Amino acid sequence: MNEQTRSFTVKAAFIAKPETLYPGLSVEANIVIQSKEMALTIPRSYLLPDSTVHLSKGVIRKVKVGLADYQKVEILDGLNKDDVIYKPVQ
Amino acid sequence: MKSHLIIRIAKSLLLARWRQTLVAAVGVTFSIAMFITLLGFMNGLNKLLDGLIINRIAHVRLFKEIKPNAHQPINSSDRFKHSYNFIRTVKSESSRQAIYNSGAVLRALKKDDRVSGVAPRITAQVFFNDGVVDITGVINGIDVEAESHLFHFNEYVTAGKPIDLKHVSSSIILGKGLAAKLLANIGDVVQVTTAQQERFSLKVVGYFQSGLQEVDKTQSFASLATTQKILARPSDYITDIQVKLNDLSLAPGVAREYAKLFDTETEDIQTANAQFETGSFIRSLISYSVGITLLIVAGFGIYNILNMMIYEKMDSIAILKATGFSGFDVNRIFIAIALSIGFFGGIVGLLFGFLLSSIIDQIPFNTAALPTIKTYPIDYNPVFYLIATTFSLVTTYLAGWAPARKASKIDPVVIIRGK
Amino acid sequence: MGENVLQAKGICKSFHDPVRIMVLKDVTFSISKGEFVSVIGKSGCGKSTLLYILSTMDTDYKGELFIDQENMLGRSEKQLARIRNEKIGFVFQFHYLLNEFTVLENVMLPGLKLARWPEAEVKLRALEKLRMLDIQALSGKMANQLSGGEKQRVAIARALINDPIIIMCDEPTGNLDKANGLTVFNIFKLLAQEQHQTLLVVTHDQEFAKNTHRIIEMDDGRIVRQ
Repeated sequence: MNEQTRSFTVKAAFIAKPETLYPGLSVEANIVIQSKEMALTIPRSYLLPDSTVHLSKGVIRKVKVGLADYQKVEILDGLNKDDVIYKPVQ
Repeated sequence: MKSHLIIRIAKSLLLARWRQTLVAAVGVTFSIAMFITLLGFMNGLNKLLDGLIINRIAHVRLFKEIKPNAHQPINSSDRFKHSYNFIRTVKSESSRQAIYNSGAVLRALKKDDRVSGVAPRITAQVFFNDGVVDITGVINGIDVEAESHLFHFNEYVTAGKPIDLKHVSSSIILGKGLAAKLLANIGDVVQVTTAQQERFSLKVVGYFQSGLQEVDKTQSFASLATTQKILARPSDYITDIQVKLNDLSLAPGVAREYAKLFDTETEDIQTANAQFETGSFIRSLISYSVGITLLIVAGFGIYNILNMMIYEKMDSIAILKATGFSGFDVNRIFIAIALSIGFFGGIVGLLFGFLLSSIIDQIPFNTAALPTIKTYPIDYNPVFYLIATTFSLVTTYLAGWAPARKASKIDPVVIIRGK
Repeated sequence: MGENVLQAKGICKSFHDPVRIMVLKDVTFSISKGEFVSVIGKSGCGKSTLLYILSTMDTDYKGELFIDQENMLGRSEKQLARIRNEKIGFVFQFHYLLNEFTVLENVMLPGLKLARWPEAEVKLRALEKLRMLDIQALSGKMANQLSGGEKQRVAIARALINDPIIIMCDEPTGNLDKANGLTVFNIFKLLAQEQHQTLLVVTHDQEFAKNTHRIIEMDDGRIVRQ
């Protein structure tokens, strides 16, 4: 690990070699650290700031949140796939 | 009814009262002259200020911005493309700021009919070493000929020859402010350090002065090759492509098109510099309103004089009507009087306006910020002259309208009986 | 006598300022071609008012007016101006020339307005009229340089320029001395006798009236003798 830049040097090899390679090419990669089957996600905009969601008839329910990015949020607990939730009015 | 008879009568009436006519015409002349001068001067200034900024900015700029790739590799892998991938600590794609395949992009741009010119650029952040002090600065790697042609680079070089950048290897043109800070004279060698801690010696071949102090204090110019050398990059390394279009208004559309076509970021002049247009617009608005106000004042003068003339010419109007001239004819006579005051006053006004503009154009105007400007700027746009003529005719017509109507309504019986 | 050139049928006119005053009461008469008619009466008997109605300049009246056997009722201002231009010549008490123009131009203007003849011919005609009135020498002078008698003669020349079917005069000698008055009268007489010009002259000069063909006497808005 490079202490100054807090980065690692990773060596990689082509599995299948491309037909042509240009000088100065760069590579970009994602490292898979976990994968999960049958996870439940909802759009980020349906989640209220205090980790609650609007259910039908104005009921508010607290949920347990897992991974999240700007688009989607993983729900660990508190909802199942048949629940209907409403988008909060801004 | 023949118009030339109407004009003949109008002319005689005008000449019979030539002093009043002159006063009215002088009013129009004055306002038209001021209108022309004011607009010419204001627009001259506008163009100058635009020139200061807009002329030096590309209509469309192609560049590569450092930001995360929207298409992350995992989403294109067969195994994961059907699942939702939460990606943490996304890194921006490499440190590459260069435009891919820049040679081909340049060639394609030069072939586009809408493009009047292309100038590639490299921006390099460096430190200028002045003894123990490091001054941050920017070296712009440029194609001197293209920059001079498109963005008047040569006009801002106040000392030295711009073309030396190309002919003298490892040469640099410093901003005037930067040169003053470094105490660098032409022919001196300055030391620069790149972000990668590489040191270079560059020979100063000139100064430039943009008129914007902030720019002059930090910016410097070198040739593309020199900059590529400093950055240790290959000769196709270009970070910016500046495009000048034949028609500036196409910029936003062209920018969007190029962004898609060349897969780069683009920026167009309208989006980037909307505030300058607003400034120009307001200056024009002010000059137009002052000019029109002057004309309206002149219009009132004409109105007054025509009213007086009608009062004096009651007998003549009565006679004309008694001998077979209709109210409409009388109306036309007075409208013709008003319009000829407007026309001749206006023509002389245009002449005086032109003269006054030329005089202002001769007044020395030297400022450190504007090295290329020696006298006050004047814009001799013929459109102003056209507008002024139209306005003078319209205002005098309107000023003459009410008096002429009054004249046409005069009842000859009342006048003849009243004697 | 010949055909009617002017016919008035039951003309009534009243002023409303400040109370309603009838100035003309059922005035009916006609003038035939070639007649030299004078209208006399005391000051304020309505003779000038009648003249303005007959001249089509005053349209605010009741009754019917025929000029050249055409009814003047309901005509537009523009049509009436055309009729004045073409068929009526005017001579006023005050000379009413356009001071901004020369004598010749003053005489020519109604002719140019009518545009029946090209300008060169209008000029010839104007010079001819001036010669007839013995004032051709004045043609180049400005109107305001003339004496009263000369102005009146120019006004007569102007009245003649379009060969009107009738010349109307409002006190043509009222503002002139005796000698000039006589000159003007002689001109009228000559026009009537030699050119059979129809003339209608409003005057309070009994001497003048006596020498015309026909006298219409008015009193208090009515014709009392004709």
